Amino acid sequence: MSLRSRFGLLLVWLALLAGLLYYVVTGLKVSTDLRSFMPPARTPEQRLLLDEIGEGPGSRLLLLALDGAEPDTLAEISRQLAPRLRTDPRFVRALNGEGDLAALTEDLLPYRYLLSPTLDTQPLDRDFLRAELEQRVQDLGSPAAAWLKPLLGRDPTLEMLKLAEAWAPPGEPERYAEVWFSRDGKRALLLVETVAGGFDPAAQREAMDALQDHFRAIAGDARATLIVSGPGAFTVHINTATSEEANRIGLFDSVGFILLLLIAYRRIGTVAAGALPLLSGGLAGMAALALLFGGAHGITLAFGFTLIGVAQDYPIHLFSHLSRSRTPAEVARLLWPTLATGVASTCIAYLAFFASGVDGLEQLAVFTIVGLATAALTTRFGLVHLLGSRPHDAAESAWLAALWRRLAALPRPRWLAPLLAAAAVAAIAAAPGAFWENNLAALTPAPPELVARDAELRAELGAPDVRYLLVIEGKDAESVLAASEKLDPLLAEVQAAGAIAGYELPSRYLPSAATQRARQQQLPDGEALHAALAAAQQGLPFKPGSFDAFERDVQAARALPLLDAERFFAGPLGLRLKSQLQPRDGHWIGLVSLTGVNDAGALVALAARPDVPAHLLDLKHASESLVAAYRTRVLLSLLAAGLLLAGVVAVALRRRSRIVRVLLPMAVTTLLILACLRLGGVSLSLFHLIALVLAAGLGLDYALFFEHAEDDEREQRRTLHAILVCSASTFLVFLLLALSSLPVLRAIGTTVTLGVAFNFVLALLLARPRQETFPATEK
Amino acid sequence: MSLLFPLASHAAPEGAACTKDCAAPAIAALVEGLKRPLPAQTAYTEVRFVQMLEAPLVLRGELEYQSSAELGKKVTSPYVENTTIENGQVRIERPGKPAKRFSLKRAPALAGFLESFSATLAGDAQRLARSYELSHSGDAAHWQLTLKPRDPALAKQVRQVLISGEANTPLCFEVEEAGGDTSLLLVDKLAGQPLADPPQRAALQQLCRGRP
Repeated sequence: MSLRSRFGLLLVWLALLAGLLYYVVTGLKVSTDLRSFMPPARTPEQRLLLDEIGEGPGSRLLLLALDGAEPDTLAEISRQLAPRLRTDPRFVRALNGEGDLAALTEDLLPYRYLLSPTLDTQPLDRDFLRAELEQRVQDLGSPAAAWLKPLLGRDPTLEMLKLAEAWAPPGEPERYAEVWFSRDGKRALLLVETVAGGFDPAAQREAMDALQDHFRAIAGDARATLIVSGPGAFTVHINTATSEEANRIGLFDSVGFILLLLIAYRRIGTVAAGALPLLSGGLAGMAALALLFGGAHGITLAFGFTLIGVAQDYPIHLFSHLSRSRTPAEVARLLWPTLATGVASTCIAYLAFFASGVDGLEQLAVFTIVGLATAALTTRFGLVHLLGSRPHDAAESAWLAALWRRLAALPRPRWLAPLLAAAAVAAIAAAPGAFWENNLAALTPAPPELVARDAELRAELGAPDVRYLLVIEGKDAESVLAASEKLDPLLAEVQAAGAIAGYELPSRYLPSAATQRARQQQLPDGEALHAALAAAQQGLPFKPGSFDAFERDVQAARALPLLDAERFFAGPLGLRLKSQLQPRDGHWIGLVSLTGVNDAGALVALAARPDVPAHLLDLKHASESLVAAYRTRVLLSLLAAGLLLAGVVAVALRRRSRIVRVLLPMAVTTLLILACLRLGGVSLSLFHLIALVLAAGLGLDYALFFEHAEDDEREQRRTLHAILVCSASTFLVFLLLALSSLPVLRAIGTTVTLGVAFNFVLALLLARPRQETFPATEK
Repeated sequence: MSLLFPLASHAAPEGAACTKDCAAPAIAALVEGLKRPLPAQTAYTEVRFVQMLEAPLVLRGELEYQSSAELGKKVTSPYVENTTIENGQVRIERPGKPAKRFSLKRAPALAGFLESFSATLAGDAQRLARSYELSHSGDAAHWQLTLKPRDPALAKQVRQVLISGEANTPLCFEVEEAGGDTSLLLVDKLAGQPLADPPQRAALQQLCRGRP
């Protein structure tokens, strides 16, 4: 092709890519919520987990500490920060310890007599009122008078204060200047609940940024700093750390990779053009996801890009086989059967993921199939036309010729494969330690200093446990609230025994209708209350009529329709109750958060009692069982994929000896990788599995090309060159990942690095046809 | 040590370099003369005129002043109540009841009293002048010092604090709240003074000015 038409083709190609990019950017919604990556729940525990993971009150709480300035400055910032956050729609609540007397709106104020527990034990009679009024006289004589005075006329028994205390989180921290402080008095503490789920990194990032913005706006140039902890903060931290490290490694990788290709092919244009097929594959894959699913999970994309990394080998095969005697198009045509066999069998194998029934895996299959096919087709029909006619011929390299001869002379004993396989199986079986790692968090651990700080803040703030949660289910809100009230004394016993430090029940905010009705019936009528009040005031200096507003409120409360969840939800504390009481698929659930769990056994025992109307949700156990279920599906899909792949390869190669030669290296390699990981004490996770699939894909290509090598020695040298460049570049890329400090990157890196090494050696030893082991005569 | 016993001091008044919100020399001299060694304590009688109540509350007890950040106020009659103020935190204890704790900022009248009381005992007129606009009347034998808060937030709660005394001894602290309530604290030789039942505010003010 002429230079001009090559340039034209490049422009058209780039324009197409730009169009795809635009479509992907506008059409593909990337979700980061962990829940959408999980398989459908099977057990009730898993169902609750999927609903609650990231949504449970515990996981949505952020613990805030203000540090680094004078306590008075910090207290002032805290006082301004909390109301600002309350008006921000990204937060459900913001607590800093300030008495929130506005917890009931004006029209709900008379409800205090139905919400406060006072009337359960104490009628509003003369004796009770007398004792209370005596206290109020003393209050008026004390410094507390300043803030109690406005309340007294309407609320002489201070029910609003009792409610405010009951609604404060259990185990309240110390205070300084009205707001929560750490025990050492150096940090102001706040508790903030986000609307976003705790395991949704994008939404949590937004919430964290909002926190910093609000804080900066208030703190101005004060030296104070804001510390944020909690599951959401960890999610953001881990996500940032992982992507930063991945990007850093990616940069080194790219530089190394490009250098390697430049050394191998000596043409800048060739190397640059070689990026186009993979780029096209990635964009086409994402466009397919946008078209078919409208969106994709971030993890699907990360796995997907790992898997289509094998497509970078396609241009390499083409480049290494270029010579002056054939046009690039001819070279591509000759290579195509081999390349197509590898691509087609891999693509067909991924079809197995469609049977998994998991959205994330189906998306992965679509992305990978479209991506690989696009990369292969663009290599075959697009890339070849961009290449110049004076390529670097790998076969002319003297050291490659020497290496080829040496490798060709290597002994290839028939017993090698069975021996290695048997040794690997034995090692896998004998290695100690758990085979599977079900705790996804173990792969993305939060730094220990952050965990320690979180524990410290959690203890100071009395924030709820993120692992255990009691769940009440009922046919309606009323039955959940009734069960919650029944649970109250039982949990009080568990608390008294020291198994937990505290608990928070939905009925603490909204008592059941039955309880409200009982309290309502305890309220005296107008005359009785007036008489009792008059008798109680005997000898006390209150002016006549001081408590008219109180009498009016009590009479109003007698006639109130009982407060239901609907109405409470609309009030200032509505969101708070909503996070603990929710309708779901025709029934209602109540969530009881627990604080300072010391003895999970006591909770298990409590939940097992037949009279206890709740069950214990162990989020860790549930998520691990979910991961195990997920993995089972992945394994089944992989098994099916393996069979499909073998079938396609069998159809393509027909002869049994050829089929065995191609499939054996990748099968033995897989066993060897597993053996190495197990001997290294590694428990396997989903990330290892995905990496194993990539390694197998690489191995298939190496074996196919070695197996297919032509009789011509120069052509064989070119094949060797191709596979050397492929494996060296892949090895380099994943070796850096393997050296990462982050377990998740290390898992993928180690597995693929091992895979490349084993696949290369085994393909060399096992895949090449036996009768051609002797060097052909030099042509 | 009693508040009656002035601490001899011949040092120049502190804040000689005062440039803004300064106390007039006469006031500075007066306040300087009130300086007492710490800790100081005195019996007191507090009369609180509260609008909600028909008759004023009369409370008797003891004040214990440790430092500018630490004050104890013990009510012994007609009931027992212990108030401690420490680093801006108020703690009120009554027998058989859980302690109430809140910030001094929520009790502006108390904050106003504490500030004027501690600056007075430190003999520090400039400190007093930083927080209050000062004016002064009477003579050396019977003087009155009027303190109006400079801080607008405090001024919204406390209209003024009136300190009266004779010679080197403060006798009365009268805190007028913006809402109309008033608290009169009689210390030193007036603490044990028998009062009318119910006490009248005008009569008490006369008493404070040394005109019984």
